[in-house]
Amino acid sequence: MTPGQLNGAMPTGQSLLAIRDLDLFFDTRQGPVQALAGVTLDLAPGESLGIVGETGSGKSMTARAVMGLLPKSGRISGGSIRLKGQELTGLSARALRAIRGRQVAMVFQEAKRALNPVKTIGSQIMEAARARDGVTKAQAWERCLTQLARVGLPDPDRVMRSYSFELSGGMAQRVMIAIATVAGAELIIADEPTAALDVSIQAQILDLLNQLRSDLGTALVMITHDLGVAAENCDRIAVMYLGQIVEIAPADRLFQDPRHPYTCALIAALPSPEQRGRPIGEVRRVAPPPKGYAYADRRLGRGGVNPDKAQMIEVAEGHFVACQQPLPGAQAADGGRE
Amino acid sequence: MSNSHSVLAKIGKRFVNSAFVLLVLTVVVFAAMRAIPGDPVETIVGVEAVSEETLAALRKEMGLDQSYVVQYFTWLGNLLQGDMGQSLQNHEPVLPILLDRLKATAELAFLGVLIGAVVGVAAGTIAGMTRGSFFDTLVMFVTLSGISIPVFWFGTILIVVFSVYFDIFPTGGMISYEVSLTHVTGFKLLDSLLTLNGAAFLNVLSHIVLPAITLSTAPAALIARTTRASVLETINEDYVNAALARGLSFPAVVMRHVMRNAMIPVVTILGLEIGVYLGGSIVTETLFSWPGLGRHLMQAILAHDYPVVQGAIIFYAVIIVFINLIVDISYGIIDPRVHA
Amino acid sequence: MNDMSDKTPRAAQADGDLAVTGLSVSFPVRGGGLLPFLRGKERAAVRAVQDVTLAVRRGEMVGVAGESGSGKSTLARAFVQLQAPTGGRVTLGGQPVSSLDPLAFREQVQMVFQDPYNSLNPRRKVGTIITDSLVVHKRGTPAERRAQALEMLDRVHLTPAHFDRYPHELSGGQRQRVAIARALILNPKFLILDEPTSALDVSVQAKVIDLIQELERDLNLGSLFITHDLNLIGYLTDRVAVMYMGRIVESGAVETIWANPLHPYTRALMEATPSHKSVRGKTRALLKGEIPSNVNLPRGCAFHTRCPRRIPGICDTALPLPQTVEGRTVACHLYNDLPGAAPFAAGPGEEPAA
Repeated sequence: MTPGQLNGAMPTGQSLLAIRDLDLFFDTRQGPVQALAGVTLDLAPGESLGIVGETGSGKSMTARAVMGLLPKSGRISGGSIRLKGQELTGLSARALRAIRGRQVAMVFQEAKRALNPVKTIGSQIMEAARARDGVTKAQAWERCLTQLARVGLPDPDRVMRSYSFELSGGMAQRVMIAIATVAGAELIIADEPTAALDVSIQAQILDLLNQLRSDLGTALVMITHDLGVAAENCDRIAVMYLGQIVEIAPADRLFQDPRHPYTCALIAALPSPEQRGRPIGEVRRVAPPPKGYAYADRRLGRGGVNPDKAQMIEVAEGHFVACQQPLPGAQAADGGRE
Repeated sequence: MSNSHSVLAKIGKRFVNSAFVLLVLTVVVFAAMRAIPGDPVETIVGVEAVSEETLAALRKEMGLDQSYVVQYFTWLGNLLQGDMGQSLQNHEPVLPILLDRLKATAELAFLGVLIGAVVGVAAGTIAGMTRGSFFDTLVMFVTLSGISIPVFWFGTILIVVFSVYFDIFPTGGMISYEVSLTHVTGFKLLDSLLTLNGAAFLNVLSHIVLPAITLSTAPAALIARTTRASVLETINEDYVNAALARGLSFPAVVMRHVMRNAMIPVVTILGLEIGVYLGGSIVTETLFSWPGLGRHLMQAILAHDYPVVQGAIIFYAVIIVFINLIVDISYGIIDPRVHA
Repeated sequence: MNDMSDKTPRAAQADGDLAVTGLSVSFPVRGGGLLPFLRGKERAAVRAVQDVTLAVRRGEMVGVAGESGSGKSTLARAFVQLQAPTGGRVTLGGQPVSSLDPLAFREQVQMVFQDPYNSLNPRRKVGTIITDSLVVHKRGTPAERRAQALEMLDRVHLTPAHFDRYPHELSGGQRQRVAIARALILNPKFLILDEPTSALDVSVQAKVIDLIQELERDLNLGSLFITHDLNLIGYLTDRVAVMYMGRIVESGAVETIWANPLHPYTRALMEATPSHKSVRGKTRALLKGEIPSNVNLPRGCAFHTRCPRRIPGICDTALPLPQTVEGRTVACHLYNDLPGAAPFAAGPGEEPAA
């Protein structure tokens, strides 16, 4: 278990995005509250990673930390975020601007709220298109039209002249995706991109994201509370709980062989027709968890984060589970809560 | 979707509503004047002992012997023809006097609104952007004082300090007696500019500074606080984050995405503040002997000069209604959703 | 009629059922003013629910599934008399509810709302919130009411300590338990649940769902469960009605429909619903286009604008009649007699002849 193979994805050199031991605190009147504790993950170019978790798990904060869009009271106190080898934490506002939009772009949960209601779509997508170096206004405009057509919006000219309130939720999210991709970003961070949409529209948007990913080779980090969405659309899935990644694995493995008790609980809590007649929310453990995992007794510090930093151990290729430092020689029972 | 037809229809509708409001107001003003104790005739006659017959003759001459209903409709009928009657005191026609006085008030109010809006919006925006900073704390403190201090007290302090003690500005009036100014529009600052009369311009300016500051203090404070709150709210909107995520700089985001949205509630406050401005102008004009509508109204009320008071209040009402109409139209310019 | 109880021996208005028959709800579109009215123009209206017939029996849970604009929430509100129908009627035990005393009706039918943050008055304590209906219905002494509320808190797995808390001191799941306790304090026979768990996290939802199942069983409740989550419907409910643009397109036993959905919309909705059991990169028939507006409903079958199996010339002109096919009711031209052959009883946009 050397630090280099911490979550075993790949050596840092090949990663598009490499987050190491990221700690995030919020300064509140009651003192600092830890929001992220030792988040570590890697993302390969073109890969799609789902980050799932419930409210307060830190999944959105992880995304915002990468974008450098943390709330004012948020403070990164340790760890690193590297994009193509470039350290992002502590970067100047100017340097950060050169990365936003051009290398990393973001898609928000409620597209209609992520579009300025008093400005035309055109003016907003142009802001992104012109972020590219050496693009004339006319070229940028052309690119915008192309990109709007590419995300499946008929009549891009008209869309350019419209306002967000004239668009449906699905159309607005297509616009947001066009804005995110127009400057050629290699990584898109989508924060619950379909949570506000109807199922049939959600399917269209997810389909579009997958399409763009295969066409443009863009990598995708998808933050979602919906395990089904992650399962169907991501190569790998990281499960977050109280500011930590408790398990990270290839999508199919995670659902076939979940190891961390929290992952097991989360999957067990999902209602499905197959579960009919059986109570949900009960953990039926598939395999014994590694010894001493973080969730064992939910010993949580103030602010909700486990005081003892867990370590990731690899239980199968590419499948990592958070685990407290095992006590030497201790052979205690797993202590899981059934 | 917006189209010019529906916009015009909306404005037309607003005009009809405004006319109705004004009509109701004429009744209220007329009734209120009659309800105030005191008799205009006796006020004019003063303390001299006059026979009942003389008083009755005077009343008949002024039309005050008729029933209130007849008086009202006579007045309303004339009003609709642009005739506001004659002053009971000096028998001059009301309308031309009021129009003349209105110009002085307009100049004062315009400058007051300008100072209030510019100072208020600027202070509020910077305070909102730097929440929790020293400047923000300062703005919050100063604006709270600005809202709390009564106009007459603040004006008096300004006169005492800047006119009496330091003798920088005159204590009152609009233009010094010895300064000559050619009449072009009747707006003195404008006229002095049009006639390239620098001396007169500076003279009027020195007269207008203190009352304009007095007038604008409370509204500026309120506008600053509203702007600050509005900027704070807008800055947390998703579209601001989204604009930052596209690689725009923070100042650029504030200019392009925060200001226009943040101005929507500010415009509302500004519209509502017009009433405050006009109310404040009565006190301010009296205090600074500014020959405007407010001071004239004050004098007319004391003299029970019904036609002048009624006329002046109708003037105020028309101004407020008209400015609110402009505010409503400006929403449509700021916010495209209004037409939807 | 879209009556899912046709095929059962019991009629829709059997004793004790809570039912709607031919229910329609439409809202006039705001604006327009007096002029269109004077000109005799028909005012534009949002047709939220159209000609819906649905019954809930005691001891069963009926799911209503649909997307935005399907009318499912309006239907729920109409069931509890929070929304006056513009057509059709609501009956309780065969009696039109309009003829019932409102208090008597409320004693039997209660509702739980979607957002536990807005549905509880922030300035009232949990105890007051729960006992309020007892006060309104003039039941018991203060001490008895308190005892009853404490018992109810226990039933929803909260503690007596929660009695004196304010809603903001509770988590989302706890608030929803309070909302359920409030609904059940009068010992109703029917419970209308409008997306009661969609604002909650998965693990919290699981516990609230478990509670709802437990209470339904113990109290022999009849309930209507409104949700957009097909996985939840498939897990939880006995019967289901799938709605699209204000009408029921398919209804029947959940197991029957889930095993083989017949209506193209039901099928598309099920395919679009993500599941952690799905294979990655599965191909699915995506529904094209947007959900239409409730003001300008498409002619004929409202779904024809997005339907992958649309029959030109039929689906876009005539309203499909509900048919009993393979043990469920489905309103789709594919299952009417031969496409194009049968004369259709109903004109476009009109109610089918009974």
